[in-house]
Amino acid sequence: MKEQLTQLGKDFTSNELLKKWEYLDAESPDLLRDILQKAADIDMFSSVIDEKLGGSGLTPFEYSAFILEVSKVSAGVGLLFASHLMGITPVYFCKNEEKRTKILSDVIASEGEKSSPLCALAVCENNRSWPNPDQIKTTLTKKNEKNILSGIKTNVIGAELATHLSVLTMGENNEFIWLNIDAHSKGISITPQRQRLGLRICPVNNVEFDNVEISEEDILSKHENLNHLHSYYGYFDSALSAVALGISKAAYDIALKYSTERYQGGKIICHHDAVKMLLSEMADSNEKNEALISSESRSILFSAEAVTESERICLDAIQVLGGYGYMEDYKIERCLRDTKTLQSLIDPYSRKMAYIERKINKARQA
Amino acid sequence: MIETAEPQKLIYKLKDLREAHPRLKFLEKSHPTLIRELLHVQKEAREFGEKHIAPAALSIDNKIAEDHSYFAWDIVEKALDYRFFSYAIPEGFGGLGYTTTHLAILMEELCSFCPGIANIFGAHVLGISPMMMAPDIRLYDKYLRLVTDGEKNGKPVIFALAITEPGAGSDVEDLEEMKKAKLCTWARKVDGGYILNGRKVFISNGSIADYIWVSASMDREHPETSAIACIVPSNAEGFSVGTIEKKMGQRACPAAEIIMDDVFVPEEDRIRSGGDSERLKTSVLGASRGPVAAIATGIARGAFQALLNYLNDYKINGRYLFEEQWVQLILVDLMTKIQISRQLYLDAVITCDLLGMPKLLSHFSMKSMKYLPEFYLRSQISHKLFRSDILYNNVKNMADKAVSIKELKFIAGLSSIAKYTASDLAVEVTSKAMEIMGSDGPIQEYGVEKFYRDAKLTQIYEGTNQINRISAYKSLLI
Repeated sequence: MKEQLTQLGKDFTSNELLKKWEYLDAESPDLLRDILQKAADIDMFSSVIDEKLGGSGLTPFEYSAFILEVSKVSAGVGLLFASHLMGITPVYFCKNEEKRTKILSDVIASEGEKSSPLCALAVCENNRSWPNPDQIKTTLTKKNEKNILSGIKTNVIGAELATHLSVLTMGENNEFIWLNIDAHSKGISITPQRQRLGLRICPVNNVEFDNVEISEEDILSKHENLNHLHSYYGYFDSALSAVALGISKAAYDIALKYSTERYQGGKIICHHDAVKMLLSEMADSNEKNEALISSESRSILFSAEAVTESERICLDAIQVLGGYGYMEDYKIERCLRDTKTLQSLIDPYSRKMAYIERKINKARQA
Repeated sequence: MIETAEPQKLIYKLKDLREAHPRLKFLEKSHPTLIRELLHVQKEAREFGEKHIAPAALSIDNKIAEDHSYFAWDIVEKALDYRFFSYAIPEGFGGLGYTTTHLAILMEELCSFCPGIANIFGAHVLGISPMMMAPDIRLYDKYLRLVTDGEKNGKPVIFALAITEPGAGSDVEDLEEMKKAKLCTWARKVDGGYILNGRKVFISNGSIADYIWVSASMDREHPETSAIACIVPSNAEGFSVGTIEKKMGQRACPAAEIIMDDVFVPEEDRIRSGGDSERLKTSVLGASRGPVAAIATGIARGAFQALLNYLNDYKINGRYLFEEQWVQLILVDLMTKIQISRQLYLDAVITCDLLGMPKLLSHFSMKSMKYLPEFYLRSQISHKLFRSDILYNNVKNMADKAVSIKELKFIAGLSSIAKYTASDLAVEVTSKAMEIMGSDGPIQEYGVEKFYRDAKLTQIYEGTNQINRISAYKSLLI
């Protein structure tokens, strides 16, 4: 299955992305809608949904094989598919079968009808990707027998194009509540994205909920604490890792190709030890990250590791190209900008803190 | 409600020279003029940066991203009063007579605001530095005065240095590698001068410079020993600007391709180096790589300051992010890296000034020129004298005796160490600064992402860091 998804990703990029490469480094909602429609035509949004509901039942690891191929050409587009998996995750973990079936069936039904039956995850409320319990200020309260959602979520990947939003909110009894709501509900407004370093084709927005009315059907689950986030983040982490790996593989491929064509001091530069050392470290890191993604083991730190390595690989790849690597025409500087932007969304520091706090808590309880 | 005391805001206390470098306090006793000058340079550069660069840096960067042929002439014109273009020109020729250390301080300070803008001045100094290292007084008289006069008249005269070729980058900086380099720029001797043909790429200031120092070999069998260097005016017949590169960072300083199609250069505009091109290259690289380390240090400092500004405003849930211990630990680590970079480049540039070619600029014969009346300096007699072989050979002999090739290699080694260390650390510092800021790191308005893009180039120009490591090996280990 993984090989098929890899091939599907290759076909998709060669048909839909390669010719548009130069336009994929700027905000371009119309182009993006067109690309997502093409993805919907090959059922890429329903593919992560159970087969019994009409999806393809792909695991996150299989889906990540497609994301990896897409990210080699456009990490911004790859990130949108990862974002879809992120948005689906709270629904996937919803224990209420009826609600789960209804939401996922909606996604399947809308595929083909709408340009982007895209789910997005709205969890952050500041500059960190991992929320702390006392930092959730988005609330779900009862007013006149109605559930009212208020607050602002930050860094919602793909919010502008999303049809569904999975939102983490705080209930009146201090419980953490997951919602899945129609992204076009009354009271939802999306702020335009700010100019940023990379991944520019992929919208990342703040979403404001101004007294949005929420039906009981939209409530997915309630939790006493945020421990469940480890399972949620672990579930979609391979998709984020795949974006990072896609970028670093693209950078490595460009550097390797260049090193076999460029001469210095009378010999091809791949025969210089300094270049060989750079290339071997890049290849080694890519292989390690690929092994992590393929292992089907889950950790919230894999993507943190993958994106940190990806940055190093992109920096080294530019170094192999020298001055040419620094110029926009050589495609590799975009890799660095994209991977650094991805890193800011993955936020290794807050993940590491969350990871070790959980370990410490477990150790203390034991 | 209990009000908690507001924590003290972050201040970067190691910005000022004397605070950051206690050794300067000691040096002040033996070299009071030098230290006074360095403090003046830092003050002037900081004033220019705060007043003119800081408010414009991001918008200039964005303008060039949209139209890469845009050049910020207004900033350059504002800089004329500060005389940055004539820093390196000897006092006797109307300049300020500053040396490598002054330039490094200038670059660090300006780069903490915008390395792209700073590099307009840096690339200009690089363009005139081979003349300074030659040393060829007749060229000082002919060209350096244009720069100082231009400053007085409000018309900037800008230089550039053109070495890199499309098929030969780092290898043209090394004589051994140059033997096998794929060169495409060649010179041939004709009556009264030379004809140049070929292309140079990634030339900083290449599209806006008035004069360009160009290197070209004459013998295809022995390019390393037949290289000549000459000054080419940008309005020369056959000279044109090709592609202006779209760069990831340092955009304010254009990198352009220059094309020479049968460009004639008169014999008198050839920079003579007595056939010893190794000496000239070692001198130039020894003097230029230290300031590149200063550029990297300035970039790291700029990113660090931008990070502190951000952290002084940014609260999560009523608590400043800098109150978190993990943030404090990283901040100290970044500050340490900046301090290491600065110490290394100061070592390199001070050594260059005390032991290298710049020490000749403080020779009484150079200094005394400023006391000569202008009518005499501009007279036919003095022109003949300046351009005479006797004077050239005397000056060259004096330079050869005063500064040995061994000393030049030592300086080049220290400069390389400073260059690759400071540039690697600049990338690390800017990268970590972005990470602390989480999802705000890549947002343009905070300015740190620009420093990150800018920092990467310092690992590449003036010889990639790999080439610099090899250079340090050759200079200091064998």
